[in-house]
Amino acid sequence: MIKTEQLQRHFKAGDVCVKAVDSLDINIGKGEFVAVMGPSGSGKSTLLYVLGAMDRPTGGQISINGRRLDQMDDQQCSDFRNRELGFVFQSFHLLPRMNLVRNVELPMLYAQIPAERRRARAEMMLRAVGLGERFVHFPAELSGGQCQRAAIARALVNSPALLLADEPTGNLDSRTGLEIIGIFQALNRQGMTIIMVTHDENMARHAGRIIRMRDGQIEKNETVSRPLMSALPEEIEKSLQEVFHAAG
Amino acid sequence: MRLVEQVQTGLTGLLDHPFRTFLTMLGIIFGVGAVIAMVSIGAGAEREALEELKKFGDSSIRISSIEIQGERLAEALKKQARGLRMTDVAFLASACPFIELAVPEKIDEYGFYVANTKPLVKIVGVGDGFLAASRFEVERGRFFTDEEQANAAMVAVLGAGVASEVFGLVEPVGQVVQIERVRFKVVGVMKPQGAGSGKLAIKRRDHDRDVYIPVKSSLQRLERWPVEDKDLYHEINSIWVEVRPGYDLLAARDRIAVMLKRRHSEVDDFEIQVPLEILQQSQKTQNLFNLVMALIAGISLLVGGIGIMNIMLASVNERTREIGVRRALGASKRDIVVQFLVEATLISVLGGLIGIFAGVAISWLIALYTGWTTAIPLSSVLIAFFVSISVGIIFGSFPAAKASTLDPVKALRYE
Repeated sequence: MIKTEQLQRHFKAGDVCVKAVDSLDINIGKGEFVAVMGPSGSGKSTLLYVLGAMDRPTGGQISINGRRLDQMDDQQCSDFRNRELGFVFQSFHLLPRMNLVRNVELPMLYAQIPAERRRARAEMMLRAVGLGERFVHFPAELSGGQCQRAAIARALVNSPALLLADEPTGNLDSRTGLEIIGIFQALNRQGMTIIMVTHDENMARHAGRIIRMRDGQIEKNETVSRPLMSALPEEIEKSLQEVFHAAG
Repeated sequence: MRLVEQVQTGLTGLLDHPFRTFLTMLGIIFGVGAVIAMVSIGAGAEREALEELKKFGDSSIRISSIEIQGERLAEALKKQARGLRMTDVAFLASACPFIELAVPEKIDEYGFYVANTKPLVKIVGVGDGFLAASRFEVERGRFFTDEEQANAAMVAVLGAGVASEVFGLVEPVGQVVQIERVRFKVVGVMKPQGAGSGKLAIKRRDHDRDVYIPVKSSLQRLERWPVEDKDLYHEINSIWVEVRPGYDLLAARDRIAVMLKRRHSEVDDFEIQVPLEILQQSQKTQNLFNLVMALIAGISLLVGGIGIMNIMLASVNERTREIGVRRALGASKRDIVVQFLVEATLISVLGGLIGIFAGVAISWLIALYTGWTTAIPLSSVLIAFFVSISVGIIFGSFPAAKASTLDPVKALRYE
């Protein structure tokens, strides 16, 4: 599903060329849950944003679902992010002046979905992640875990093919972090492809594969033989299933 | 993203900071408001001038005597000049083919007695064709006939103000009034004229306080003692001239001036006014005024626009992370440009609308407290509105471009 060849992203800082991502060949299949690990500056976040069509590679090829990201213009990249990708960030990045429903509606706004359908779908997604009572609350009124779940609802609302997470548990305590990982695992069981950048070994152990990076290159590519399992409240598991069945 | 939704989003964004938004709008509000108010004064003056012209007609010329005295009078008398006279009227009528009517007007402040009262009026002796030349109308009774004119009959037509003051509810037509020692019969009452506002700079007295009598009656039957030389110099005060259609008014004016000057032995004892020309001149002044207004408007809108740009730049800065988030969720550069352009335009358009209302209110207040005529042309409102839109688009485009070219990844990480 994801295939890169000689992918590189170099930054020019004065006379120095920083090779944040250098000659990467990666293959990630559909339905995989991959954790990307590495020390700060190893290029794992840059890789994530290049895969997420937010950052343009300076060389090499990258294709997702058969589409060449390196050949797209801004409008195509934006549409691709909007319809095919879901982002989850470390600090949630919910817009503070909008309530949860409107936050979750945002990606659908850019997909030209009419208002009633937007609202219905946003509410459905919020219910699916267990925030059924929090539609009109503002992000500041919620806990970190709730915010992250709302962010996941937002990422999923346009039924993307790929979920990209940048340190999704970094701002959460370990118990709440595990809850979020639980949701990821549940999504993965429904067939969602997930790439998660983290430097928490314990969180990474919940994924099916760990790519370890150093200095812009893959240091180690290991399959986790028996991923850890994070328990998820049964009703959330069920409601997520329903959402996916409804989406077909 | 659809435009309607962009507008909704923009409005919510602006309402997040209502006070800041209002302050930003102030520049536009003041600019547009001031211009609407100023234009309304100008347009009001113009409308008044046009109405004034309608009273005078666009084919009329006024010749008025200029009072001269002292040395200049002695010099004029030495030159055998005799001022503005009835013979001038006859001469103009016969010598100038382009003159349709030449009507003498002789204004005096004779004693005017009714019953035991002595109201202050102007006794105006007028020649044939006065009604046509002045465009005045008779309300009750009739004006005097050519025959009465030729016979120097003792008949009078009262101005509306005089009639109502003197006779009240009594029917004035048929009554007798006394001018100096002569008794005149009232045959008619004029329609009220209203006092001239003087916007056209044409001498206009209060015609409602006139008492009209045949000019011959005035010349032959009324005399006043003691008489000074300067009072004897001019026989009549003015001549109303109507030019035949198809003749150039200004050329006619020049011909009359040359001919009369020669008759008056080159003495400058009269002046000639063309209401149409005065109106055109006042329109030139008006155009200059409008130009200055447009400049002031331009400057204030420029300042307002810079204010908008300033706030929008601050807003782009403040919302860098939001821009990153929106980009990540699928907003294209174009969506971001439109988002900020819509916000800037909303500020300027709302400011413009408030400014239009403020301008209308100010113009109304000005009219209320100064008594000036004000008028608000639709064109000024439309122009103000569209200029406001353009100000928003022009001054919003730089911040919008800046917002759209932010690197999405850097924007997301912006603290």
